[in-house]
Amino acid sequence: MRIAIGCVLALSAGTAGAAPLTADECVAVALAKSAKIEEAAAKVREYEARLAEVESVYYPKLQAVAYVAPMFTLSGDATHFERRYKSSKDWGPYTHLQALLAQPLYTFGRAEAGEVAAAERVEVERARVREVELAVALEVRKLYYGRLLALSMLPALDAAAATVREALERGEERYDAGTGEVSQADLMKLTYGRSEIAKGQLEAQYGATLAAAALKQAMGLADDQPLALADDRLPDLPGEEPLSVPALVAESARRRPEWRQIQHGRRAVESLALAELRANYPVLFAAGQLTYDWTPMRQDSPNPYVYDAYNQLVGGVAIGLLFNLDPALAAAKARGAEALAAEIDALDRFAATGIPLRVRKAAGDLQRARRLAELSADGVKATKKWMAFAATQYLTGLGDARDLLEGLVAYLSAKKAAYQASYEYFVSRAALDFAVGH
Amino acid sequence: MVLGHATPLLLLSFLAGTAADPVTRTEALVATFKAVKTKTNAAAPLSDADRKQNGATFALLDDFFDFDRITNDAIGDLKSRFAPDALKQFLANFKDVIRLVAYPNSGAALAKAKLHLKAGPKRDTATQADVDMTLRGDADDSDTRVTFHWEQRQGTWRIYDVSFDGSSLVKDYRNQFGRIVDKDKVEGLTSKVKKKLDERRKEDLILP
Repeated sequence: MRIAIGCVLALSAGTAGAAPLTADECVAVALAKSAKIEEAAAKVREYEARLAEVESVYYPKLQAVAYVAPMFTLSGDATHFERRYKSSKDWGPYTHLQALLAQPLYTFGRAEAGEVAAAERVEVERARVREVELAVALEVRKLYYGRLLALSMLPALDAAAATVREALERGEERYDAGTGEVSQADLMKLTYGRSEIAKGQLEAQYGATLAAAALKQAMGLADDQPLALADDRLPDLPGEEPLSVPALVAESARRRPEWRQIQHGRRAVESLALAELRANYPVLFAAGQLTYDWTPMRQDSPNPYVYDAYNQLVGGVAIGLLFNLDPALAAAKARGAEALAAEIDALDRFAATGIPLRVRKAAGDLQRARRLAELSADGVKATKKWMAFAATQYLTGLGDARDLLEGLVAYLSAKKAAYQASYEYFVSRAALDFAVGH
Repeated sequence: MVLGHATPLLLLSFLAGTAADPVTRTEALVATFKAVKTKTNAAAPLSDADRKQNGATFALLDDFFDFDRITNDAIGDLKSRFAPDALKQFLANFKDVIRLVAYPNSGAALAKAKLHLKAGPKRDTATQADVDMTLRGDADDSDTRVTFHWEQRQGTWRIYDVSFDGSSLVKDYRNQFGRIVDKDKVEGLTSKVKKKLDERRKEDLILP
């Protein structure tokens, strides 16, 4: 269902005037169009083809050779014969057809083990697709919110730029008037502040453009394809939901694709080892053979005791055993299977501790980011108040511009910290979804 | 409910009705603030018609504030440091500075912000009420809570203090006055306010 929605969105994402996409919709487009996911899905098809290759052992095999060749004239019998080949009239066609039809009947468990190994490998690759999907979703969300982090600072920077520009204009007027209120150092402080704000604006615009380009790439869209996004500023943090880390760890044990990879990988390796163990077993088969030769250039002998390879029809059916003994190769492949099993055991041990650790870290990061955002919001509120009161004092002649400017700098710094914490919250939430396997 | 910029003064006058409840009075105050004409270009003076209209608007706005209480609360115990005539002059000047600063600046700030008004926490007496206004500016996605502190005297609700996120503006004035007087004496404070008043008068927003 999600993929279907993603496909619809993917089709609409490229059209002019399409509805702006939210973070979740960008993820849906990426799931439908991402090159990384397509690559992983192609790997699944590759292993499905290998499974079909293994299963082909159950189907009949036909081997046939047919050809036409020039033949000189030969007449007579076994004791008296004449060859003629000097004139072109002495030459004519010779045709040959040889066909062998074989149907494997029983492989003593070897083919079945190979089929299970191949089928389980397909499941491993399917789980890898899910792993790539989760990684792509995380990347898309990081870029989506990264763009918003850059854009969010712009209005505050623009407002600060306007304030400093106005303060500088007024300051220059007063400096020129020689009121003694403003010194050249004050003017240079404002000029420096103006350049710092302009740098911040440039960085924010560049950051937003870069993040948007990277987002397109992660979504599998062409660089020149239009992409309208729903948000232009980091959203407010949602209401706090209590996190149960043990429940999330338990959920990750059900959802993370690594567990399916380990589960199916172990079955694949066990079956592969079994298949290699039975590699030296014979294959019981039923076969039918037909050989037909004909040429008008040789006189056919009616005597069945005379072997005439040029005019004959031979056929028959049989049941047999096919041996293909290569103990050294089978032992080498068995060792390869054992090594794969050891690899999966190691992955299992890593996943057993690594996945819960990743979940705990993401949950901790999320809670930390929320707390940081709350503290930063207090800082923003305090610096806004600082500015409000400094502005009131300045405007009524009771305070000086320095307090106002220091407040402005502190406000911008607090605002940046608040947006950073907000960004980290949304990225941590995406990382938690990734860790749990949502 | 917030009214637009072009609200006729007649309607503002009606809305500003002194018998209205504090929330309605706050809505009328916001609308009246927005009606103040300001310079769009620092070099270009306001037309006489605009200055005349500002005179009427300022008069309407004056009725929203209990300036006697605001200025006296702001000066607090420092009154005793002033000579009677100097105090009278200082309070008058301070009132005019507030008018010339707050009236034009508030309208511009409120016009840019999205507002949400609600009655604040109940006060102990039936004659006092707080109205909270939440400002959310386009350039800033965090809220600022402005609280208007109203008091009813002889049937009329008037503002005696304004708080930003819970901090009293009058209290801040009082502390600032104390700091300046400690450093520059009463004369320093009087001089600063007079200087600012002269500066603001040069803006020429109302007819003399």
